[in-house]
Amino acid sequence: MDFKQAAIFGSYISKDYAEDLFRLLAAYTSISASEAASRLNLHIKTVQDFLKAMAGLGILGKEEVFEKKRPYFRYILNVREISMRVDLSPLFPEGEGSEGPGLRIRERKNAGVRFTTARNNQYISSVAIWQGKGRERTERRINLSIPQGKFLFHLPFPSAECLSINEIMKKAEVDNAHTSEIVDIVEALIDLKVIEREIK
Amino acid sequence: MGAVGVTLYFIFTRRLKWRSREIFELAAMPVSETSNGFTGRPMHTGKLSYSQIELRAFAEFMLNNLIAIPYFEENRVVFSLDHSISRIVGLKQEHEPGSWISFDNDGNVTAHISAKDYVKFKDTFAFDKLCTNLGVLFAGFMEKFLKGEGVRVIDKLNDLRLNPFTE
Repeated sequence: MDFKQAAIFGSYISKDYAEDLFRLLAAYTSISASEAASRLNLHIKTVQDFLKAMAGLGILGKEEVFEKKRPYFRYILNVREISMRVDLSPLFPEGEGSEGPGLRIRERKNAGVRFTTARNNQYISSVAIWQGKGRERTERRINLSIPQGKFLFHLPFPSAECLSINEIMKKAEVDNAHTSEIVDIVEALIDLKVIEREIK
Repeated sequence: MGAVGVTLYFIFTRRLKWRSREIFELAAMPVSETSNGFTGRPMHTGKLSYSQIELRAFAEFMLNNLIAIPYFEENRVVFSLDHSISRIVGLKQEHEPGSWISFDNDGNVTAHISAKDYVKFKDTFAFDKLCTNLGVLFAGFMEKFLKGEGVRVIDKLNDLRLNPFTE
């Protein structure tokens, strides 16, 4: 199950009526949304959404039947057991060979952000970015971990030469164990137009 | 007549003049690149070796010679280049806002130029170079002072021969 499927399954299985619906599905050979809704005294849309989501995950099978000229679905329980296993490996940063630590960057000119320096220390504690225009303008503040703050403290100025993430980490004396969190904040700040990558 | 003479002496020998303008002039002197690039971040400009006693003595020297106002913090001394009246009379307890240079207990030298001071330069000098030079300049002052050549710091500032009446 990938993360998206797990999220859908999790949100439906946590409903109060989920167990009752599964009990009906186990007891009936096949059941329609309207039959289940009337049996449990639920709104038909609620039951329809639940059954549709479970069918999408392959837990239920569905067959289209016609009553007079109007088609509808009948649902059949396909499984006797559901095991939920979520693969988190795609969420981990890519290994060697990715551009990440070799990316050459510097602060973007006129980024219009406010860096707050930690008191008495050599690192940035937060970055405040203004988004939107006029009265819609809002401030988005990103609080940084200490390795991220040290990294941003040593980020090349907009008028300076770009440096690679590895070089900046070395300058800032940030341990390699923090590479993934550094790459994460760099990517976020590139998206927010605070950092720019070198144009070759 | 005597009082006027004494006043003129103090003015022309720059003994009553805060030296921030000279400091910025010296920092900008080697910079020719005009690529702007202002940022509100301070810049780490290098590392020096000094003791706490030496740092305190240097802070006293800088204040006595009207070069910068020192602020003693937990693990560093920050030299403010903002010489507004409220700061001189001690109404401001913080080194912000304004430009500053800090020397921390580990020997790190960090420089920051405020937007207000940056726009006073005639050209939009490369900001990273300006900050680097400012930090290096203060590190040089510290080295001279530690060698007992504090007077050379004053000479360097006087050699610019800036108008004694301007800021």
